Formats: sequence, structure tokens, C-alpha cells
Amino acid sequence: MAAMSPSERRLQKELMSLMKEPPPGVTVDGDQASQNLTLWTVHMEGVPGTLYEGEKFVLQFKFTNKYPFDSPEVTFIGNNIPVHPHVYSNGHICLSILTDDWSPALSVQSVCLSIVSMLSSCKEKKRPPDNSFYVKTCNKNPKKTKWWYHDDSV
Amino acid sequence: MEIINELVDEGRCKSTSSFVNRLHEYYTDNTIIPSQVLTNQLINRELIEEIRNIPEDVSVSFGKCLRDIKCSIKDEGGIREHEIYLRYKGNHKFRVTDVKLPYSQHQDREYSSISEVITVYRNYIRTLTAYFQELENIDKQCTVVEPIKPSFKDDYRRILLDSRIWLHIEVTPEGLARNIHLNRQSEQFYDKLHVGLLSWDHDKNIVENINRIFDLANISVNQETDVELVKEQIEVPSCSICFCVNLPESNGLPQPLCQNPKCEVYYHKYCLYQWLVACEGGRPPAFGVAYGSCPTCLQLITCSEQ
Repeated sequence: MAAMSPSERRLQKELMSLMKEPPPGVTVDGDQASQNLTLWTVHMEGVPGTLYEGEKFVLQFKFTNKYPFDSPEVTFIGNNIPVHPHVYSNGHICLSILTDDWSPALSVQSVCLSIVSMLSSCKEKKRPPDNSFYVKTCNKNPKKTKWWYHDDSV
Repeated sequence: MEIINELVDEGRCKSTSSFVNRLHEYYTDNTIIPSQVLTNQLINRELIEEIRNIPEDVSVSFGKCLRDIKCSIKDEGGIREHEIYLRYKGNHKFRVTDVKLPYSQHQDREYSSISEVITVYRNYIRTLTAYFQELENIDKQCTVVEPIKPSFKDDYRRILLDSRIWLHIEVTPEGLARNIHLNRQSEQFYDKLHVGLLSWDHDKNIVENINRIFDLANISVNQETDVELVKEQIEVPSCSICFCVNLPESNGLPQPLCQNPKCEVYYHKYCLYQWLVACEGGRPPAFGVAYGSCPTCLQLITCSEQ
């Protein structure tokens, strides 16, 4: 087997620990991820007692070979995109740790937990105010968007 | 080259010296070989003579090519053996390519003969007796976390005081300790070190002084126990950037580099440096020290290139 690159080594470690001890409500598609370490699918369940109780979402993680120095590209995919003030109907997520505030000490697990808590703290299910304009004009890659972080509370 | 193969293949060469003798015979008997061929390619009479003149108590071996020579010199009393790697540059020129001793200007100069190298290094080794003893004592009696494989080439040791605090200490060629400091802030150890440095006992060796300052009797390694075993038992946390302990790209274990006492994470210097430089747009920092915020606690952190 060829020597693994630093990003592959780290992704392999993350995948193992996420499969062994997944955070509540989060499951990673281990078969798919181990086939292609740079593309992961993560299933997420709405936390009981929150507005998203009983709902199921699918997240897609794309990694470059610069990971963890480069943040992953994280979007919601599939036919159930959560209705949330920071989630656009095309699946793009407005979350500062995914772009400007990314740090290599963060991980897939910590990103998942941030998204879970972002959803859980939501008080009213609605799309972002600029949703239709953004979805029409944005780049396919959410990392190309210069985000204007609406608020720090959610 | 064919001639060399022929000489070796005949199976008459049981040792280096017999090979050299054979080669010498061949060389003197066969006037057919134009001497330039040998001079340009492998070795010449001059080098053969040099090798024949090496004192008997110095063992010699060759590297990939006959111009790469390794001499092992025993120090006085024959306690330690020191290896010196040489390269023959032709025309009475020898260079030291590597040596498992602390850096000295002997490494940078050119020598006219192997015997000259041996004489210079014999004398140098003689002056280092105290240095060898101090380092051996530290390696035997303390838990050394860095270098991973300590040798006499490294003139520093990082000694484990507790799981998060390491003592950095450098040993001068005269066997004196210098540049003693802790790897991170710790009030408890800092006060002890401060008081201890003022009352350093120069009649005692470094390990005795360290033991007295930090009262290491409880955690220092008994001479009879295997240091490697103890080292394995101490779990070094993995780097919070690459998530590994050992890194193929660089030596060194993850260290608690963040000065924030509440920040519990370890980083490889290599990984943290790469991140801090990347944050600055990839520009190498002034004076080799990168600074930015800790990837975990966001407090100011600095890191030098290894």
C-alpha cells in the first residue's frame, strides 16, 4: 500500500473514531467513506425535544488534500434540507467555523456537533431572509461565498 | 568497476584490509590500467595508502562507495566508540560528513589525510569526557522524552518532570548545564527551578542537581528498570492537528506548546508551525518564529520552525 498523505492519515483516524464512538444522532456511512476518504456522507437525526425531532437529514463532507489546514466543504444533501435561518434551500450552511473561523483542531465530529446544536437552538423554522436570491446566484461551493454571519446566538 | 568485481568475486577477500592489499597488488602489478580511470572513478593509490596507514585500534568500514569511509574510534579506556563518517574528495582532501558528536568547527574543515582526522578527533573526544558522562547519567537516570533516540550528537535533553512539564537542559562540551528552562509555565516548578538555579552545586553532576531541585526521587527511573519500557507507559497525547503521535515528516513528539495553562492540548511543532504560517498567507515569518492564535483556545501562541 502506498504511504498515506497527512490528510489521509488524519481522515482515516477520524473515520475510525467516528464509527466507533459516534455522537448521539450522528452516523457516518463508513463503507462509502473508506472507499473514498475525501467524500463522506453523514446521517443526522433531529434531537428529541427540538423543532427537528423525528426528522432525518443527510450531510455531505468534501475534503481537499490540504485538510485539516483547509476546512471541509459541508452541505446538506438529499430531499430533506432543514428549514433553518442559517440553512439555504440548496443545502448551504452559514456557519463561521466552516470558513473564516475554521481551525485544524476542529474535526468532522466537532462540525457535526456544531450543526446539531445550531439546529437544536432554533426557535422558529424559517429560511434565511435572502434565500431565493442566494440560491439563484451562489457558487456551487459554499466556501466560495463571502458569508455575512447574521447573528452569534444561533 | 569490472576489476573491483573480479577482485571481490574471487572470494579471496575476507576482510577490508585483505581487499585493499589485493587491490594494491593489482594496481602495482598491472601497469595496463591507466591511473586516471581509477582516480576519476573510485579510488587511487593515495587512498589505498591512506587506508593502510590507519592505526590498528581504529576500525574502518565503507559506505556505498569506497570513497565513503567510516572510522570507529574508541575513547580512552575503550568505554565508548565514536563513529566518524568521511568522504574522500581526491587529491589529499578528506571531509567529515557526519559524526555522532556535538557540532564543532572540526566538522567544517578539510583534512589532508585520514590520520589527521583521527588525531584531531581523538583530541576532541578527549576534551568531551565530562560531556559524555553527564549525558549518559541523564539518559540512564531520568526519563528523557526528547530526543526520541538520544545520542551524543544531541547536546540537549528534555526531561519529564510530570506528564505536562518537561525540563529542557543543554550540556556544554565541558559538561556544564546551560539554557535550563521549562517547556511551559508552571508556578510550582518555576519557583523550584528559580531557587534551584541560584543554589546550583557545581561540584555535583547535573542529574544530582536536578534531583535535588525537583525532588525527582519519586519519578526518576531506577537504573535497573528499562527506560524504554517506562517511556512506553507514559502516554504522550496525540497532536491536535494531525491526530497522530509520531509523524513521518518530522522528528519530535507532540508538546504542550500553548502557554495558556487551561489549554490542555498538544501539538507537533511541525504541524502548528505549518498552520500559523498558512494563516499568514504562507509567508515564512521573521526570525523563524511564527505567531497567531492557538487552534484550540484562540489565545496567542508562538512556534519556531524546528
